[in-house]
Amino acid sequence: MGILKSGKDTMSDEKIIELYFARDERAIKETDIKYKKILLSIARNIVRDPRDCEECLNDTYIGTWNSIPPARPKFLLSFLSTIMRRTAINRFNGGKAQKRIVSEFTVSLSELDDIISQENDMEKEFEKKELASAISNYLRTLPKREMYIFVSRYYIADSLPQISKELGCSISTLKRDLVKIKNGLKKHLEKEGYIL
Amino acid sequence: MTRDNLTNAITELEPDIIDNYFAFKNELENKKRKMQKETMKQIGIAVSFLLVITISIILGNIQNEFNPYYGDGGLSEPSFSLKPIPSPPNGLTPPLHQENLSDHIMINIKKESIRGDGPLILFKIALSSLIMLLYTILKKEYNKRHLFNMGIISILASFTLTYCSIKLYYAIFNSFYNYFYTVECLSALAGSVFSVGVFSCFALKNRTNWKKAVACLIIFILSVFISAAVYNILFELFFDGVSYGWA
Repeated sequence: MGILKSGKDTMSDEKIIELYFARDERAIKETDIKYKKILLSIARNIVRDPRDCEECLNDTYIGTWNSIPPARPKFLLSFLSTIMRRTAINRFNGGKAQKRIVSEFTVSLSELDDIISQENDMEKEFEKKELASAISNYLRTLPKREMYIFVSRYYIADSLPQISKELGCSISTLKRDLVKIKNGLKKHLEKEGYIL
Repeated sequence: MTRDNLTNAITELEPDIIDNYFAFKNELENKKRKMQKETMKQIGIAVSFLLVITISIILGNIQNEFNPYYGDGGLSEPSFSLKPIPSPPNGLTPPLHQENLSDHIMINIKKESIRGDGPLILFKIALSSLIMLLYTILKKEYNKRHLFNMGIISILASFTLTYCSIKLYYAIFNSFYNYFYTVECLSALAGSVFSVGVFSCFALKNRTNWKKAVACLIIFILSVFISAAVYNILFELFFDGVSYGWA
């Protein structure tokens, strides 16, 4: 069974969103049936502790319940995963202050160090959304496979062996691809006027 | 730009990117499931081939037990006992056709002692497998695992067909002399049809396309003929012999 549930046993995204709009609590139940597995996998890559993952999942459902309406997401899963990632990162940062957690998320973040500077001078000059838009634009120019690698590694925070297994390639090939993608992103961001 | 800045930006990637990611992930999973299904099917086919070969050998051995003319079973052809041609009465020369027949049989026996079934079969299996594999590669896009599986299927199909065609050849030839060969003839025919049919179906993506099926079938049969022809040519080059047929 894949990580994404689909078929007769799950409700369509449109219907689930309608349930949120109708303030029907079945919306959360249906979301849980359809997307629990994938949302937990995102949380697990960022915060290792299963109890933290469960709490992140609950926070995500509450966040979704509070956001829809007024929001009417075009892509429900993207919407949910963004909330989950935000929640998990907040929990991770909270936990990090107490103790050092070595997770795949920290490893994936450290890999981005070589394309950014450690200076904080310019960090407030760019809006988060603008940067996200610039990165999104860059990702749109990539072939599907490369886009998948980037999102798997830096958004979902999947491990390298896991991604290589999914794509059916070796880890060294994947590392080469990641270097190529990161260099491409660096060039793209510099071209857009970002100082790295 | 700091790491946090970049991390937050990545969290806020536009929804279509994330949606495309999940769509591609789904695609990969479906592909993986399909491949697993295909592998299971290929294993099933390989087992079927082995079963056909085993059944053919068992059938061949059973009928050989009752066959006074066919002693050693397996792949080797029946041996011919040569009776000396009676000498013509004094003063008469033997008929020309009798001399020719005798020479012909002697040449074949001499050749047979050099050649045997083994090298011919091995050569045919290798070459026809290669031809079939090349054909399937040209028809479809395969990854490494598919190629490996197809290689095994090709060898097994080729082996079954080669084995059955040799059986069929001798069975038809000998059924003029012995009705026991009729059983062998039928089993060999069934084996040949089975191996050709299964391989043709398997090598095709669109199994309802009868033109492709016929083309595949012809290439499959031709591959066995071609390999035998190449073998005969090589044999004649190195052993100075006379070719004695495709099987």
